[in-house]
Amino acid sequence: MREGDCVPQRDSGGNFAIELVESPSPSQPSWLSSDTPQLEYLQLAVGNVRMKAMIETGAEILYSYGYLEIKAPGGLVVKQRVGTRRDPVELLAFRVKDLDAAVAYYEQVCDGVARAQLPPGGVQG
Amino acid sequence: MEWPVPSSLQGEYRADGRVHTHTPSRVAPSVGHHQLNTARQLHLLTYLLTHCRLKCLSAVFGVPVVEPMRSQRDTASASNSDAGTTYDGRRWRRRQTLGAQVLERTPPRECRTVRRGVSGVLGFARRTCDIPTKDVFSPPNAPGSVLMSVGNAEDSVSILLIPQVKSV
Repeated sequence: MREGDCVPQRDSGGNFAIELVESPSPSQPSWLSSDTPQLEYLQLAVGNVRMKAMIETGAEILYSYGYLEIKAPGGLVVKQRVGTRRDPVELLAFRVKDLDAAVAYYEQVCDGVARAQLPPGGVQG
Repeated sequence: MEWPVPSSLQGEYRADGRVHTHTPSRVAPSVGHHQLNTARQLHLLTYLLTHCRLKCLSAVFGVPVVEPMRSQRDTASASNSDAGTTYDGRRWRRRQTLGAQVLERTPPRECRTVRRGVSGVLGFARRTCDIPTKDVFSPPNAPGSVLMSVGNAEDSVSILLIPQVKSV
């Protein structure tokens, strides 16, 4: 996924990674039936986009005005834009059952994580 | 990696079917050469894969864009004409190119926000006339969501935690 002139150096450290685990009940929204955090949304900046490969693997192209919004076969919404970045992962959204516990967990396991401001007007009911 | 796009397809598709190559002055100044090439290739792929739907063209080349469905709906009386007014009062004109419908908006360039539903979660996407940058996007979110960020400003990864909504 890494393209262009963003070539990591030896001391650049590890990149962000996500492990996707298939839900045992694909017919039901996973976040309604699970106590574990569910990946709801993924935003990536990639140097190249192979739309044909996405379509062939079952992705649904929802939007393509300068960036791509894709719905994966499992329902995960992914936004992709063309861009070079050392780490292509820009944003993830998890739906969690216990918000406070989740915040505490990420503060404990992610060194340097800090709460950030949500975009103005971004909270929708 | 370069996409194998025929050189004859690089440029703008005109109403008469000819291809017009953009001059540098028409390219958005914020668009780097690498980005432009990549974005152009993305557009061309879109063109080829969606049978002449050119909706990426404006975004790729920094030309003002319109939202076709919204424009058509809000100018239903002008649906069969070659010009109309967008919902925010700007003029647009429509043309046929190889079976494709191309909507153009008159200048000036603008950036605006549209709200869209995202897979059951109310969210919104911000669309601009330029190549999108990171701040173009906003995450889907819900009341009570917490945004966390790790890493430096250049390479930060943001994690949005959305509280689970109890099923009724």
